[in-house]
Amino acid sequence: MKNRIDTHQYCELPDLGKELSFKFNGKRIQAYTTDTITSALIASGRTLLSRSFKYHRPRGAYDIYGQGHESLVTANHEPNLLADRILVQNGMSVKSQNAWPSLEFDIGEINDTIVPMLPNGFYYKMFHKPKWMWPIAEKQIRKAAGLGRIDTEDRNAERRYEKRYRFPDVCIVGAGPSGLAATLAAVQEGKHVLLLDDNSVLGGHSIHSIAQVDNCENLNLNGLPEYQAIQKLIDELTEFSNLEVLVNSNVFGLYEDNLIAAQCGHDLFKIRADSVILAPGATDRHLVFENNDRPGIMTARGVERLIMRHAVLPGENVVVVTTHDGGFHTALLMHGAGAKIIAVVDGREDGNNEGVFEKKIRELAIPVYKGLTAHVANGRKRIESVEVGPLSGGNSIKSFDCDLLIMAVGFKPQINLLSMGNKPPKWDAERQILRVSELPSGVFSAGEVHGSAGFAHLYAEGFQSGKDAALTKISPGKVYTVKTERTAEEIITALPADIESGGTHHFICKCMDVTRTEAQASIDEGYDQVESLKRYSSMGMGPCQGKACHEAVARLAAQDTGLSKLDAVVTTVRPPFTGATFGLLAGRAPHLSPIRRTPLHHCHIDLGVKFLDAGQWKRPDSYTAPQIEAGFIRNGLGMIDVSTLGKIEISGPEAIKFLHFLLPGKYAKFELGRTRYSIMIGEDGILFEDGTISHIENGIYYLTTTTGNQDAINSLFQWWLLVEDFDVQVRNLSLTNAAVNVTGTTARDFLQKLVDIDMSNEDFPYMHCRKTKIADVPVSFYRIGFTGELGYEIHFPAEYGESMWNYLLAEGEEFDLKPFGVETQRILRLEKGHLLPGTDTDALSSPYETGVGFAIKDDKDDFVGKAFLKHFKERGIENKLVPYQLETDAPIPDDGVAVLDNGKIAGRVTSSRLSPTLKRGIGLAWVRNDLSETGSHFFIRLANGEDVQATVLDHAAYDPEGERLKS
Amino acid sequence: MDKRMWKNHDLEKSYDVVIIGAGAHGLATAYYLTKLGITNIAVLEQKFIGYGGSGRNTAILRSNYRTEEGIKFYDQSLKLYENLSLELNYNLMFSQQGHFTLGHSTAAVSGLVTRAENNKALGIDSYMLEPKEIKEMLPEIDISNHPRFPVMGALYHPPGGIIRHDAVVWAYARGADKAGVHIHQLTKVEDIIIEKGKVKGVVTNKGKINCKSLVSVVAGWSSEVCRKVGVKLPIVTHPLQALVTQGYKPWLHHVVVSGSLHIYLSQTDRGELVCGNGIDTYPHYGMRSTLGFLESYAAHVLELFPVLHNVAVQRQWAGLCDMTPDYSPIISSIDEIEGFYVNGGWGTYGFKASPASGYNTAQMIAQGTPEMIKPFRYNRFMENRLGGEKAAASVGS
Repeated sequence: MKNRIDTHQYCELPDLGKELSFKFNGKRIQAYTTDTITSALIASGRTLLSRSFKYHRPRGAYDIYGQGHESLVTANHEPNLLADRILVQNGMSVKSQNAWPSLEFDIGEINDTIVPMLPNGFYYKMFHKPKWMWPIAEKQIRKAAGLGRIDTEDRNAERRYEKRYRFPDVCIVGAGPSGLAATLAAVQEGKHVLLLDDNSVLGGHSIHSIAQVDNCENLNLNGLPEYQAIQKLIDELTEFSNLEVLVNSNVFGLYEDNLIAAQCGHDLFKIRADSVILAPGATDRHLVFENNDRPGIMTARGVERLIMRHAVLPGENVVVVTTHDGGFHTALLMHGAGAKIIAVVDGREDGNNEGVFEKKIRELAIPVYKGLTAHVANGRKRIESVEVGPLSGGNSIKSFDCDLLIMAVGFKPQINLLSMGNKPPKWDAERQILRVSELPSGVFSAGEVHGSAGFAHLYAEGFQSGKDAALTKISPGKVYTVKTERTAEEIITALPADIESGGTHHFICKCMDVTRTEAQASIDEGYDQVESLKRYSSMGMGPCQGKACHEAVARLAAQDTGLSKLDAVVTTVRPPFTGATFGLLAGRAPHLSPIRRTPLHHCHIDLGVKFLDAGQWKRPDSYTAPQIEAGFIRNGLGMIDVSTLGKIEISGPEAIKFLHFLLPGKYAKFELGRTRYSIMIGEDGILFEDGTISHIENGIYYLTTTTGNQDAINSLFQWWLLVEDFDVQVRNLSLTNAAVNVTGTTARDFLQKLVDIDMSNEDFPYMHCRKTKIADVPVSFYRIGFTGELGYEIHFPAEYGESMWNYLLAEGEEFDLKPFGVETQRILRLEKGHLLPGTDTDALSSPYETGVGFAIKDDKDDFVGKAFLKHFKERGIENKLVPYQLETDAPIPDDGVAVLDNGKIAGRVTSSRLSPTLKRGIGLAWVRNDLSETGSHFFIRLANGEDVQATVLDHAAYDPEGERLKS
Repeated sequence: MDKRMWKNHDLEKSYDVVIIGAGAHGLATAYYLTKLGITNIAVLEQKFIGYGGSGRNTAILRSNYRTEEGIKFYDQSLKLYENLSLELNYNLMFSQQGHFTLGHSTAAVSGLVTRAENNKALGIDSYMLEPKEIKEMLPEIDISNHPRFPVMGALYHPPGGIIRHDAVVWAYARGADKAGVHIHQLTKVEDIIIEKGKVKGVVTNKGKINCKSLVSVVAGWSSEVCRKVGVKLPIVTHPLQALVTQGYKPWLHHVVVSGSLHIYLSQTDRGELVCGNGIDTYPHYGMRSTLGFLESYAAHVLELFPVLHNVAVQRQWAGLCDMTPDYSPIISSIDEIEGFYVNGGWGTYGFKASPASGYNTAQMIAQGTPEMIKPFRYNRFMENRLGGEKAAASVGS
């Protein structure tokens, strides 16, 4: 481990844990358990880690925090992982992405030479003339697209995702000095606190600092270097049992009502807290200059992290470019680790602003240059020298040979989560940052994210916010942020003039490879609204979503469009803050739609059923073959599970009024023991449901609905109850009752055996209902028919489901009673020409055209849909749903095919089956009215393009007069 | 030579036509008006061009609708799109990669068959595929019976595809600008002046403009604009959410839509998967994204493509959908107000209509309502003459 240090002149080094090894592009790399992929690779002497998206430029480690895409790798089959964040595991296989044939030698780098010669936005300006050119060009462009590869072999990877829920009193995001102080304050108040941080250890940037703590209100910490002070603070917290800490957790969203979403490993945490404290801190600013993306250019905090967390020295000959004392701190840390500091280049002019660390650097006789900044970095796979010059641009005046260039040019608050509270960031001229000071009720925020600096201040702000979050009851809409006055030294220094135009390799957005020149050209072309600029140039649209560059983009847009305030030019921050995978978001349950089973489900399985999906329900399709089962019913006796029907009981003083209002029929003379066909129409007059309604007990009406409308109609009734205040009880018995339909010529003989009521046609005729008992179980009988044969629907309590089914099957043996399924029933009902709402109707079906106008009594007072029915009636019949049959040998059309008339669309087939009884194709079709005359013909266009002739029937194809079901 | 795509102008005192809304439809309307010889036009935009639905949709184009009026209208649109890169001299990256609509139930398949047959009868390339054929074209799709709602068939539409949606906006803007149209960004309409049943002008945050014709082309904000002149639209506005994943090497080469699962996805030429949902169930104007959307989308997409479990969402957003009762647009003059036109009600199917919408709206303003858009007239709601696309509506892509 070439770049690992074992001593440091100014501080203790961390315990690195146990040794292990993993593979990077097939080569074995030694590492420690505390290493991230990036720290281990740098320790092993590697600088080149990835290739850029568009130009395939060599890229190296940058901020060791994973903001930019330069650290994206594929690890253990997972693409696009942040190497900066992923802790190494023994035996792990890591591969670089977007390079061919190899990371070291990538053909794609030729783009780096070619593309700058093309006009800006060339892909919008080329390849479309002549027209045939684009499909060819697109193929090539697609080949170059994307970063990681979706591993198609990994599909069987066991789902290992879990969703977890937390409801703390206070949820704190960020475990730097502010977040930790807030935590201490809140737990001291006895609150349950959840603390999250995206690093593997607590402490934020303080664990990288050797600055001495003083003036801190926590007196225990004064006099210690920050990295020890923060450790002491962490130790204080371990004593509290009312604190839960989640490290390595990426908080990626702040949603409505302060719902916090965090990813921790393969777990999705959904957190709802009374108060939320956001203390996400800040990261180093991005400096734009020629070749600012070369390997060997790193941020100050990235370098500090490597030294203090991983004992890794990322360079030997170092130049630091800075604008504040922090840069000198980094230089000192590098010096203490054994590196040679070639120069510290400070953007500030000489003056009295010399900080603690600048003094120390000067004492070490390290050269310090004032009023300068980086102009050009030289070198390709690693920088070899850096040219520096005035902030205002122009010629560079000095060049230093170096292998590491550290950038410490101020801080950029991590405003993303704060901004998800739906308030855009504003430019704070005093603090020279974009900050979010308006937060949703219940959200607090403190620390560096508001431009504060210095351990004592960060601690004080955090502590106060923690205390207030624990104790304050925030009134709705009140916004709260902690603010401290800062001394001049603590003001985070403004950016240097880092966006001078010119040069082809000044990268603003490193994710999408967008340079200063390209951005400027885009503005010149008229894309001067920042959102247009972003979309045209694609700045900020890469994996880091502008976290690295949004401020530079805003500065550029502000400068070049003459806007003085940056807040006019920031783009909207959108979740998620870090990439959240579909697996994580889906969780363990692949699908949230439950499977619904009837009370008789297991009886069907015992009988060897084939199921079909009817919405969420599993229903028997058939037990043998539908065509054979249909024969059982026509010639014998069958039974079907109809438990999925909706079953709604309506009673109470205004039951009839309620029915009059919701159904289009009239119910004033609805005798006890009668059953009626009923339809339902929407307020738009469209037919959406048919079923039956029975006066089953005195004043109690029992409505059945189709399976698909079971829940919808119950909801609709409940809604109307709220709106109109009927004095009515509506009970949804859909799941309380099971139901079967026993049908066939011998149905009466069979059932008479089981009950003590008179089942004769005279005493219990068609469209009547009765209550009775079977085997001591209370049941209700409805003499209705969907199959066209004599039939009885039997409803009974669901808890008797299986025993009733089995009892009926056993008792029916002498009548050769056979179970049948839904598909069989569909054939039988089609032979009778019965429609299925939703299948044979759609959102345009007027009840008159559908042929159920007889069920509408529009001479009554207002009822649902009445107003629109008038329109339909006035318009007359334009299209009609008709039963039809085909010639005997004609092929059976698919459901849904078109009806044609002289090549023009004249309708469609809604249901089409082979009739086993009639031995020919039958069906229902919507046709233009002039084609709907009984006996007339129309043509059905089959999917293969052939036409078959259909003949319109008057009534059902089978038993047109309905003698079988009425006798 | 001025490199600018479109110029900035001061507001003139008067224009012949004022178009409210500089999205794809508004700019296309301006562009096609100039083709008809009307060039004294202002397009007013409250934010920046393409701020609304034009920049928030999932850029899917197709013409395999269900009704005759829908098919013909979107066929015109698709054909205009096919030539648009050449016509506007801007590569819109129209990728005609083919469009699947999956059916997961017998009822859904039957609905797709109807569409296929109606499409064929009107000359649209559109046909049904069996699960096995689907699997050949989408190797990673799960067609087993393991998913909650297995794939039972698909409507396939070869000319459907995706386009660079922002580019459509920019190209129309440039086309209109070149012909003399004034595009005013950051210009919000505050009031509309009507005198004696005639449009006289608009009041904006930058001043007053007189005009003879005024057209509202503001999609999600249609109800708000029309309310200013007392026109009540039968529109309910719902948010619709979408997301885009990080970039991956191209893996999906067709647009895939599943009505029953309420999802659609495609992969752009940049490698990102662009994914959308049905509309949110609640009506409102908020455009804040939800975690619930991410969770439900993820659960559904993994039903179809289990291989995507470690693909990461990069960004999510929401747009507004102005839903009419019959899932068809309103492109219409308004009887009571001379000179006032409405183009809205685009629900979830607006972007793909942009060229035909602009073309026909321009015709309507310049020469009277063309046959093509008569089914979309405002008065159909008074006559209860609703369009039939609701019958086919599942998820709008």
